[in-house]
Formats: sequence, structure tokens, C-alpha cells
Amino acid sequence: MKITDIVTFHCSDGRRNTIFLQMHTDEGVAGVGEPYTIGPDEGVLALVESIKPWFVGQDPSRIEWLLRRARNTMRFPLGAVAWSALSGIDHCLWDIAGKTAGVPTYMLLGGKSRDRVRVYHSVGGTTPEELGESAMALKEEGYSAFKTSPYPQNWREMPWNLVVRESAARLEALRAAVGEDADIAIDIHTTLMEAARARQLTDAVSPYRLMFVEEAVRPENIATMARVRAQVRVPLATGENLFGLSQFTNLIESEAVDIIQPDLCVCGGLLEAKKIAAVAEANYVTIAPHNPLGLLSTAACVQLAACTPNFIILEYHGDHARLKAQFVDDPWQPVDGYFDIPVRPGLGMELNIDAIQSHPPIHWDRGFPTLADGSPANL
Amino acid sequence: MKITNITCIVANAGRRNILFVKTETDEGLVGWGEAYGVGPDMAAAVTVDYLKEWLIGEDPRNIEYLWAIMYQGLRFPPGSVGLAAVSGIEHTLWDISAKALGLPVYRLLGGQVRDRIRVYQSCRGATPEEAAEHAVNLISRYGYTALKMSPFPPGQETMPWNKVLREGPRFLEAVRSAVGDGVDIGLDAHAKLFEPARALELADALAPHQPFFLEEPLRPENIGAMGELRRKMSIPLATGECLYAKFEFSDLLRAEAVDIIQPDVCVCGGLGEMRKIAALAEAHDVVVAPHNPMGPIATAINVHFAAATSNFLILEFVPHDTGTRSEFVKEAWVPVDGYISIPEGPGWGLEVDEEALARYPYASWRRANTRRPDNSPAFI
Repeated sequence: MKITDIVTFHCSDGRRNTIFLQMHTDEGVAGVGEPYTIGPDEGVLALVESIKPWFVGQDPSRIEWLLRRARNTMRFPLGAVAWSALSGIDHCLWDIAGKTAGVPTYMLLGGKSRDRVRVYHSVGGTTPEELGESAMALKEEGYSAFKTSPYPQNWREMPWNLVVRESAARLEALRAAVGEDADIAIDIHTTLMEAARARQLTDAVSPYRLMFVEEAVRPENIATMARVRAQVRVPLATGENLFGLSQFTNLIESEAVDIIQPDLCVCGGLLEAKKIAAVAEANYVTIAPHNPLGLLSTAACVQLAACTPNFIILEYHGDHARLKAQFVDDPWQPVDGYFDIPVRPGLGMELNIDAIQSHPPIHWDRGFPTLADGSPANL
Repeated sequence: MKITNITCIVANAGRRNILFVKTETDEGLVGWGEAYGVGPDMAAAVTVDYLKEWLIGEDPRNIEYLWAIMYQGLRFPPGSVGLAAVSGIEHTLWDISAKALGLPVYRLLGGQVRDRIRVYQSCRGATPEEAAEHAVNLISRYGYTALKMSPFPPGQETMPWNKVLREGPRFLEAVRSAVGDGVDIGLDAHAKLFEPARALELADALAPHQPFFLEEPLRPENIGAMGELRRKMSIPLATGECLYAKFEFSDLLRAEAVDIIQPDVCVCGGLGEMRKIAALAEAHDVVVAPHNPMGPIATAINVHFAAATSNFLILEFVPHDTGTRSEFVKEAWVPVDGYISIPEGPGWGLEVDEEALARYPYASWRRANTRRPDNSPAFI
């Protein structure tokens, strides 16, 4: 079998854009993939076009060979754009491999190691009361785990002592709303620079028994993350900003993390994620993949979760009920807070090209929050 | 698909025993594996019997799940006997999974990354001339581009150390001049030395002949000393056949104590475990040269591993086309120009001859006990 083409799609889900890839072969089997929308997304599309000739004419079953060759020939360590492109291509290759063999992709990665995949849902609210109410509504849909930003509205303009107090009040309200049978986590989202500040905030919300604290400080400085981990008494999660086996290994071996959160659309894809998972497993670190993008990302994550012993929980944003659900033919819906293990060959979802093409991309960016003095904030 | 039975068939290959593991399913598919011959071989066979009770009725294709059932079910960290049994069973699951899909096993490991597998064999002799002759014969028969030999003269346990340092390099020199520069020569000290300083002296004496690697220059238990030796020694340090599961390899790699790891797929925990170990090694820029002294199934598993693993370096090899062991499989794989080709059939692509196994039942085997001049036991 030979790869004949890789087609890129760029569409808007109403809020941000989604990129999809479709890899065609001379035997009629096509694979699909979802690279990360880095913002600017066009860089990813251009890179896929540029490296396409390295894949066309090649045997898609040689996944490690194709990806290794692409990485080696790019020579310089890859950044977000290139890792995103290769991650999407990785999805296509594993989709083709599963379809060719007639089995879900996890059957080519060691088989099923669990019967269902637990998810957590993100939850927000302007006030502590609203946050509690939103969580209650999600709990009634069956979700048993929730993640929230700890921060009150406009926190960047507040004095820090007030931010810490109001964050604690929000977590108190969330815990009271969901009760003792649910898990809750917070996402600091790399907004802090100082290890000591991350510790203050974490200590203030720790009484509400958190499942994890995510991205407590900026991701570039692993030593700072390790300092936070050495000081706090809750599990520390991070990893959505890291790419490839080397960066995750540095993080893990620096004793800087309890739970890694690779994003399958940018960490290098399923092949790289399995290697990352192996390093994590050898170091007693668990995996909770980052998954804010489209439904194909969810499909890839569920394939990984199905076959990976140290997986614990998957991020999920209720995409089956959003506009982006139109982009695939079978938007999976979790039941009682769990996804079933899929049975369709490959990743288990096909693209709905008509829907994708009827939602052209829009310009989007992440905004430009500032601190009280007008200097650019981390976001 | 369900597992209906798992058996361990111990066959004597002339000297050592080879422990074949066979898993049967309700759909008629059969998978083969090999447990390491740890010494008390029947203990591993009994452990296979013990483990099978947990696996009968399970779907053999859920490899990660069944590995965890075995490893976590044993509770205490398994040593050589337990892991040999777990490894042997685990291999059979890969064979069945791949046969069920009609694919070679490497297609379940990310696909083919190389076109042929470089192998080496060990040469030996009572004198430097004999070792050189053996090396030349092996190369003329199999075309090897790499060999391995002992860095010690025979009987080193009873020699004064200064003589060991003088005589060892003479053997290497003789082989090097007989085979020329076109062949890489690895050295296996086989964990016989105890003192790091002695290993360094030996390495310095051998380094002028540009050995491929020095294997197990020290006892495997002391990772700290291995790391210190690696920092001083000018030959690449290889070790790993005595280490179990990802955790011990992770300790070794994190201690920066190795250049080339040598896990044995029949005792490290199996093929899935060896893939995880290879990922750990890749993250540390370390290459993998699997330890492979056992039977034809072990070689086949290693060939599939090598076919799919980027940071594979070279495979140890014992010919399966001569002697008793040549009867154990229908068609033995033979290196050409020092390389084994990539198999194409489903599973391992190798068929076991069960009648031949039955002709050569288990025979008691134990490693020779060597002594020093004062009669204290030496390392073997």
C-alpha cells in the first residue's frame, strides 16, 4: 500500500478553528487526523503541504520509519508547528493501520487494558454560586469529575491576597455543590511565574481535596515546577505545552510532576505518546491527556486510554453537543462520565467533509490580557 | 477469542534447556513464546502453570491488561523465575494477536524501521590463535560484520591480575588481526569483576584495539559504580541482561550508567516491556543490543523488536541451523552477510516442531562453579 495524498481542511467551530488531515492511499483506505490549532493555524497547514512529498509514495504501515525520517530531516528540534503537523500525520497513519487490519487502533498498541474511559468536564461561572450551579447541571448529566479555573473574574487586576481568598471561596462552593463523590481539579493555566505564589494559591484550595493542580507555573522552567511539587501536598499536573519524548522525560526525571497531560495533537501523536507513557510508567507517573480541540482528538485520546495502563482520566468539553460535532460522522457521547471503548476499525470516526467545508475558518487569537499596569499577562 | 490452555514445554538443546511456552485458544490459533533458562529451569515451568489459571478464559489480545494481571497478581516484585514465566507467556499473546490479523508482529509495534537486522556471534578459543581461527570460520559461514569475545584469557580466575591484563588483549589482538578492520568486536566481561578500578584497568588495556563495547564490566547490582566507570572508561559500556522490568532499566539510565542496554526479552518481562525499556533508552540517547543466547523463538521475537525499534543497535545470535536446536523449528533463520532478513509471515513467522521438542526432554543443567586459587567461589 502507498500513500497518494494528504489533504488539509481548515474550518471554524464558531469560537476557534479546527484543522483536519485526510491521508489517501492507492488501495482506497483513507486515514484522518487532527493537528493542534497552534494559533496561527496557517503555519501548520503550510508545513503539512511542504512535507507532503516525504510521505506520498511511501508505505503507511511504517509509522515509526516515516515519522523518524521526517524529524531527522528537519534537523532542528521541532517546535509547536512541526510537532502539530507530525501529530496529525501520526493519527492518519494509525487510522489507516487499524482500518487495514480491521481493528480499532488500540488493538495494534497492546490491546485493551480497561473497559471504559473516565472523563472530566470543565466548569466555569462568574460567581462561586454560578460555578456550583454549572457543576450541578453537569453532574446530572453523569459526570463525576470537574476542572475549573480557580480565579475570580478580572483577577489580573486584583490584589493578590484577594485573588487567593476568592479562589478558595470558589473551590469551597464547587466542593459543596458536587459533594464528596466527585473529583475536582483546578487549572492555573501557566498564569503564574513564581513558585511561591503557586504554592500559596495551591495551599489555599487544598482543603477541598483536589484531584490535581494543573500548570501551576510557566512550563519553560522545569526546575521551578519541581520546586512547587516539592512544596505542595496535592498532585501536580502539567504537559500540554510540552512536545516529544525528550521534554516529557526531562520533566518526569526532574521529579516535577505527578500527572502528565500530553496533547495527542501536538505531543507527537499516538506513537510518541506511547513512548512518553512508558517513561511515565517507569517513574510512577500517570496520564490525563489534554483534550480541548475537536472530536477526532477525543477519538485519538480514547484509543490511547484504552491501551495504556497508567492512564487515569481524559479532559472533555461536551463536544458531542457543540457545533463541532457536525465535523465527524459519529460524535461519541460519554455515559455516566465514561466513554465506551470503540469497536470501529482505526480511530473510529470519519470526517464529514461537507460540514467542514461549509464552516470556513475565521481569524481568531487568544486575546491580549494585561495586568493592572497594562503589561502583557500570561494566558 | 479466549485462551484455553498455556503449557511450558522444556526441551534440552544438548547442554542447556530451552523453555517453549505455548498458548492455545478456542479459535484454534496457537501462540509461541520462550521463557529464559534461568538455571532452575523447572521453577519457571511451574510458574507458567501457576499463572495460566489467571489467563484461561481471557482474550489473549489484551496484552497490557494480561501483563498487569500477572505482574500485579504476583504482588512481590518477580525475580528471574517469575519474570521468565511472565515473559514467555507474554510472547505468546503477541504471536496470537498478530496471527489473528494476518500480520507480522512488528506491524503491531509501529511498523518496519529497517530492512535487515545486524547480528553478532561470540567466538572463543583456548589460545589467541584458536580464537582467531574460530572468528574467521564464523565470518566465512555467516558473513558477520561483528563478533563478541571474552576480554579475559581462559582460566583468568586462577591467574595473577597482571597476567590477565597482559594476556586478555593478546586474544583481542589476534582476533582483530585475523578478521581485519571490517568487523566490530564486542567484549563480554560477564560480570566477573567486583572492583571498579580493576574494570577500568582492563578497559584501558583493551581500548587501543577499538572494541565495539565492553559488556557487564562490573556486577550488575551496583549502578553507582557502573556510572562512575562509564564516566572514566573510553569504551562504550553495555549492560542489562541481569536487569528486570522497566524500573531497573530506568534506574540504570537515570544514573547515566550505560551507553548500550542489553535487555533479554525472555526475562525482562516480555516484548511489551522491552518496548517500554527501549522508549526509556531512546529518551536518554541510549541504544539497544538485546541479549539473546537462547532458542529460535527468542531470536524471532528479538528480530521483530529490532525491525520496529529506532534505537536498536545489533542483536546477539546463536545459530539455530546446527545441532539439536535446529530440529526445534521447521525452518531456522540463517544470517546472510551478517544480517537476518525481516520475516513476512503472520505472528513470529516461525513454526515450532512439537514432535522434535518431545524427542529432547528436559535434562538437568547447571552453570559450572568456578573457584579462585584459595577455593573461594568466583563469579561466572
